[in-house]
Amino acid sequence: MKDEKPILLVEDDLVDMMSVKRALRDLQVTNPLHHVGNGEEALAWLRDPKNPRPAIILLDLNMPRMNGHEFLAIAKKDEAIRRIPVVVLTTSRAEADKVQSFDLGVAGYMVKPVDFQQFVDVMRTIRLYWTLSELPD
Amino acid sequence: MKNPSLKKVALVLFLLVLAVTIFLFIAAFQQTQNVLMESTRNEGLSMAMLASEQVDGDALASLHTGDEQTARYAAIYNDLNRFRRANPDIYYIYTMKKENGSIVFVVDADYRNPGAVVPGAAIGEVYTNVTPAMLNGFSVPTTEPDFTTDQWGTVYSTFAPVYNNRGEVTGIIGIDLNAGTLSSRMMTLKVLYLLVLLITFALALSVAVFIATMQEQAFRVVQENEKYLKTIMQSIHAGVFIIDAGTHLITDINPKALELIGAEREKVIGRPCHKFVCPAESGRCPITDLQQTVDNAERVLIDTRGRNIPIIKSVNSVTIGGRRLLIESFVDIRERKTMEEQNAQLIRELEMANNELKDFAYVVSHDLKAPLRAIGSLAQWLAADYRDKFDEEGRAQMDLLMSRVNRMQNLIEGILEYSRVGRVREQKDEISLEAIVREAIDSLSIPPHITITVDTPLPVVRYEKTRLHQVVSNLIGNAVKYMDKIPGEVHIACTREGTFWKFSVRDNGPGIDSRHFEKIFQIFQTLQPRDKVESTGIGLTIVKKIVEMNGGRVWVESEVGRGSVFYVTIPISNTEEGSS
Repeated sequence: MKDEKPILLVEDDLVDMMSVKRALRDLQVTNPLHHVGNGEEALAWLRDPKNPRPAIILLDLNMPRMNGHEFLAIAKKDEAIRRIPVVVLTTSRAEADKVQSFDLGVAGYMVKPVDFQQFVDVMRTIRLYWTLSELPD
Repeated sequence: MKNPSLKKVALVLFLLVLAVTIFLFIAAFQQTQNVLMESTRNEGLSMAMLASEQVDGDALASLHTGDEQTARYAAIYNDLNRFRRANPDIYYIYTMKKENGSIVFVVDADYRNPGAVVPGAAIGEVYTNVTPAMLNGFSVPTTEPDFTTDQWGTVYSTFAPVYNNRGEVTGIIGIDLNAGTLSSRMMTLKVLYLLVLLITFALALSVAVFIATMQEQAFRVVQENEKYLKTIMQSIHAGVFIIDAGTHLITDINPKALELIGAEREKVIGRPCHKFVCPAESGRCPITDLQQTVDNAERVLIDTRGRNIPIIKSVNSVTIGGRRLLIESFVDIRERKTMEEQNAQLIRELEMANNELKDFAYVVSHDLKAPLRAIGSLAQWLAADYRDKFDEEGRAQMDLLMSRVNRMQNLIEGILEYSRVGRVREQKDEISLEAIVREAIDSLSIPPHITITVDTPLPVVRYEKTRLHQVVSNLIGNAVKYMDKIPGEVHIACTREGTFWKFSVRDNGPGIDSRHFEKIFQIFQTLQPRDKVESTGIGLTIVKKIVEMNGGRVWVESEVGRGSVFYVTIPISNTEEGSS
């Protein structure tokens, strides 16, 4: 993992958060995982100068208070945040959700599988992506 | 001729003209008769005067009863007879004088005249039928005013005084002119005039009758035309206005139109059209001012209460008798409008219901799947983290838990798939059924003991590609999934049946009892326990939905133990006609 930068997980479901944590542990990813429960909290965390800039944002779409799309709409207009790659991690297979997400500039769109082992595979793919892809500083 | 009183005027005029004609005819006849009488009178007078000149008045005075043998008598007698012979018009000539207060004959030319018709009179014979003209003849030459007809014929009598040498009147000479020809000529004239009059009258009468008949007929035709028009106007179901294009005033209206606007005829006729027919302002008539055409157009009608009634209207501009008219005909479409609104409302409600269903599908996809996934994950973690703490039975229960999570996952995905059919519409293309069958077979991983044979050439059909793939792979997949024989055989065929392709998938599997033929197409219905053959019971339901949405039909023919045939029909569209 590049420079041990943190990973920001925006996810309201506790078990899903645990799934990500476990998958990263299984994949022996050592980057710190920071978890927030919705878009508002994510923006607050990202805009807090005390916090380091994350290497990647894993974003759930369906969340209370501010959902994933609303978060993206604001984040992609924010000069300080817009270049951080966002990978959507959701249960929705709906075409409209995919189209809207890519229109809002996401780097990837992953559907959460039911089977945990498959979920680990998804996380492996994401890790591979951010390990191989060059990112701006 | 619309007004019957005009006919009376014409009749009076005709009678007047006839009367004047008759009067003129009578006057002309009188005039002719007068001229004839005048010339006859003149002839008679001059004849009598000439004769009087021949007679010696003194000789006449000297003759008395019994003097017939004297030379004086013979002289006058011979003179009279000679004069008569010289003038053939003279019928009778004689002389008379006054004696003892009576008028008596003196010399009568017919006295002892062998050829005389009238027996002549002797001297002194008294004449009894004295007339005023005869008495007047003793002073001046005179004629009788008219012909005289007696037993011897018709004559015209004329008298002249006879003078003696001293210039004294001693008697008169009378001449009867033969008037038979003249009188008959007068008669003929009379008859002729009468005849001409009669013919004129008859002619005039027949002309009058002819004209009257023609007018009567024309009047009847006009009346019939009016009745014809009125009946049509009254019986047509559409409302009709007739409007003068120049003045924009309503000239006629039919009962249907009156019923629609709720007014009485008298209150509409002569009113401006834009008060009722269209809401245009005066001077801005769509037809005459703005040059628009109205043909089966949706417009509004204004009723007496000022309400707008939706109508379908056509306006025809016609010219009758040099007058330009607008014929506006329309039908009330209120009911249709209400129905359209009801339909629109129904569609709105359906759309709402459909959207709710869509939302429901989303809720199912996310809100049901999320906890399910959590259960699955937690179960797996338990199995992994506490592996050494579980015995064989515990692990078996964990496996069962996982399999049920998977089944529920499949059910949810099935419902989502089912709701997506029809909600998400794809474009229809010309699809090779053969390619679809090949793809389906490739994606199914067929076990080696099952052979799949395509028995007939497969056509190109117009379908949504992924849906057709779903249908084909579901049917072939079912045949493979439930196959209970070695070797297993699956046959695919497609034949043309009228306007449809009939696609069939036949297998030699377990077969289906006929009482389940309907049930297998219903959602969540399976015939085998799910632990034996993992099935959601959604596949055939999706097949049925896709096939029916594409205008086809799906059914099964089967015999338990021998196998089943599933049939699907696909409508043949015009574009693929003959391309098999």
